[in-house]
Amino acid sequence: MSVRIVTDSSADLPRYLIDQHQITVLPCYVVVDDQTLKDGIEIQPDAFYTRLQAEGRTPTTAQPTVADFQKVYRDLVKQGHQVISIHVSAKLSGTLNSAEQAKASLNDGSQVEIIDSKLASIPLGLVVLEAVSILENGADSHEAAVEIRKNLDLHHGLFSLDTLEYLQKGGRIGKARAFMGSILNVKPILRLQDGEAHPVERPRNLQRATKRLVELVHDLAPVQRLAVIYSTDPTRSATLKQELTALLPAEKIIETRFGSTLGTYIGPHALGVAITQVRR
Amino acid sequence: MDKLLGHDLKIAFSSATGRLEEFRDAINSLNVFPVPDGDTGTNMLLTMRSAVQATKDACLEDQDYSASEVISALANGAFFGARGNSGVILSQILKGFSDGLRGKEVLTANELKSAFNQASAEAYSSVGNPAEGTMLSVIRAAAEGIQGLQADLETLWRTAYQAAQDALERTPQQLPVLKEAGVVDAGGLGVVVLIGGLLQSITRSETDGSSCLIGLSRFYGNANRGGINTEYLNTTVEEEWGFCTQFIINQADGRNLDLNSVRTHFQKTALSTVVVGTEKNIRVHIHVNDTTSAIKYAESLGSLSDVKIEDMDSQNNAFASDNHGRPGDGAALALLPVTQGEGLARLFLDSGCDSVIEGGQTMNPSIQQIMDAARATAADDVILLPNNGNVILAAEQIAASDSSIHVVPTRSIPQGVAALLSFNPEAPWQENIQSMTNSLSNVTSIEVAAAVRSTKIGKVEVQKGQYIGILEGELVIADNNPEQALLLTLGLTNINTDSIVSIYYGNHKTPVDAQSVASKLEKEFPDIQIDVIDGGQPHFQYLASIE
Repeated sequence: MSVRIVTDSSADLPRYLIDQHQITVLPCYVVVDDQTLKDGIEIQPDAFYTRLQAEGRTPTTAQPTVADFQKVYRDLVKQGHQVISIHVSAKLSGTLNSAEQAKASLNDGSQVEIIDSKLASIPLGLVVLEAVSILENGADSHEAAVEIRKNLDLHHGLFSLDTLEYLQKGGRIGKARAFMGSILNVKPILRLQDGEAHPVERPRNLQRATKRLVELVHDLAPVQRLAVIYSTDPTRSATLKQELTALLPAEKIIETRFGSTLGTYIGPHALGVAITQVRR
Repeated sequence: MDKLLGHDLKIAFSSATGRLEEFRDAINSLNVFPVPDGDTGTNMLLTMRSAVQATKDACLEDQDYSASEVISALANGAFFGARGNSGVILSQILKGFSDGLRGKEVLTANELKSAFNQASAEAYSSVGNPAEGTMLSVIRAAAEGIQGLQADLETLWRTAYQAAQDALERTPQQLPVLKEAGVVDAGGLGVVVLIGGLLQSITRSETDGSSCLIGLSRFYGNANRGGINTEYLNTTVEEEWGFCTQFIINQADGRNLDLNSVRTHFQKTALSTVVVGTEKNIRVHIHVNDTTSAIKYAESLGSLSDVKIEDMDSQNNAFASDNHGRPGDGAALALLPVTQGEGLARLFLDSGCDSVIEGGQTMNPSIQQIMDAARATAADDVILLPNNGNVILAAEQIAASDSSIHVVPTRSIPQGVAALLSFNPEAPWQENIQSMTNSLSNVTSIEVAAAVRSTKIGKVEVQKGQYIGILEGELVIADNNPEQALLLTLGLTNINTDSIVSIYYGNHKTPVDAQSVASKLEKEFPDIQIDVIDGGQPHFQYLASIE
């Protein structure tokens, strides 16, 4: 019996990896100017960031519905698959709720393993990729779920934001509130930890923030997977990737972009790194 | 006269404080590095007022109190009212004086010798890196001048007074910055005035004019004498290395502790040594590289408690976590800066501080004010940012007496901002102290102020009313135009393409003034980031930092 992986669009996985590993990605919803759009399907990043920065109502997001999950789970189980469903932190989104309800509504819910990654964006994506490699080694869904949960502490997410404004407007500011403040125009660095964003440091500009991100990633070495991600500045992301090649060859570092779901909170000019450490 | 009662001492100190008030401006004038700087006279006066008030509160008018009771109240009041470095050292002098009189009903010739001796010893031992040519040298000379002398109380006091004046006269030979500026030490003059004022009171010589103090004008009479470098007060340079280690040694198995041998041991093996206590328990504050040996030594004497090691280095975590290595908790840690001016207060509040202590240049907050503000945060741990060289010692005294209060020794607002931005409310305080202290070396501080007098410091000639540029505490530029003074001072720093220059304009300046400097700087360095910020600070036309 084969195992299929399900995640949501907040994982920000690049298309080629989704296709290559036959990952099912449930789109989150983004509400822009009263239109409800499927993240990555009905709205693409370029258009989204233009609208985000335009005058008007701040976009909001919505989790995939229970019905969305039911359909995906039912179809996969019907085709004879087991399912591992890995999602954005329950502290940041109701997505896991939808998933759990959908699982409970199935006749054979035991075929579905649901995992709270306690992460978001491409750090969540790296958990998904780890699941892929565990399954390639022949584990069944339950064994794989145990292994994935055991290794969650190896995954890290660091983000450099231009402003905390979007995080605050979107109601996800949490502990990063300590870094609010506009007089010094600082560029906060946040870390995903225990399922939410925590303040790390406040460099004075984006160049220094990039430099600090690199140093913080080096502190986590040795690493087995790395990914860099940006919202609107691909050149900044390329610089960051270049700086990380001391840890992993360039071709092994994944490059991707914050989709509309994450973009709603992280805003323009944001940069991020996802890290999977080697177990020491 | 062969003895003084508690009542006599109460009157004498009150009267001497009155003399200090008369000399306040004179003392300030010595200290005035052309900006209105540390205000040594004011700080010592405010400290004495608090001390005298405490004797009035504790020792009621219509009752008799022993000499010991009066001086003990005096020392206690001085400790809580201490302002500025000079005030803190003065409070330590009074504490020693009080220790020397412990349990004594009256003050006699013998008691005076031991009280002066203790006063000197306490002042030296409580300050980390004692610098000669300061008030420390003056109190020591007074103490040494009367040891071994067999004479009556008045003669002893007169001798101490003379020895103190001689020592004050020598301070320019001991401290090069004094010699350069052509002044004697301001705090030293304060000590001389107090000893003279006490002498005047106890000999009842007030009736025939200020006979005791009349000669002192020779120390400050020359109006053209300049000021001195702000660094002179820095008798407690924090060493850049080692672990700040604190603990209390408690008597064990009935063996008494020997304060002196413990103090001697740590003075030989550690830096920034403060060792205080009794035969029952001894509080130790040291900076050492080899924490383990220090702890082992202490453990051989008695049982340890309140062990704190300010370093996250793994080799020390064992000690830290066994004792006070409390994990950080966001709400449990507060950052408390000392700042002056609306804009700067807003900046610190905007960036995550819950409150600020108003004070700084010419207005050093008292130990009591700082402690009240720290307590008001209701946080488990408080990190103080003194943001002024003259507030650091007061902050460190508080930290030494209260294990929940910690200090990042910021000497300027720009350093304070650097520390602020390295603050992580979620990290343990130890980690914060380390990263905040590290951040200080990445920032260069500039201050621009109007000169309140003409002087010459090094090669810089300053006319009263000119604007002076101070780079890292050193006067480097004088110019008729404040913007030009700022630009010239900036020109002396290592600005490169990665630099961030922040300009904080004072309450008499406009954003347009500051922007004009920024524009000129931008022409010269097109790639750098320049932030212009409304500081609203008094005294300084501009503060600036280069990171």
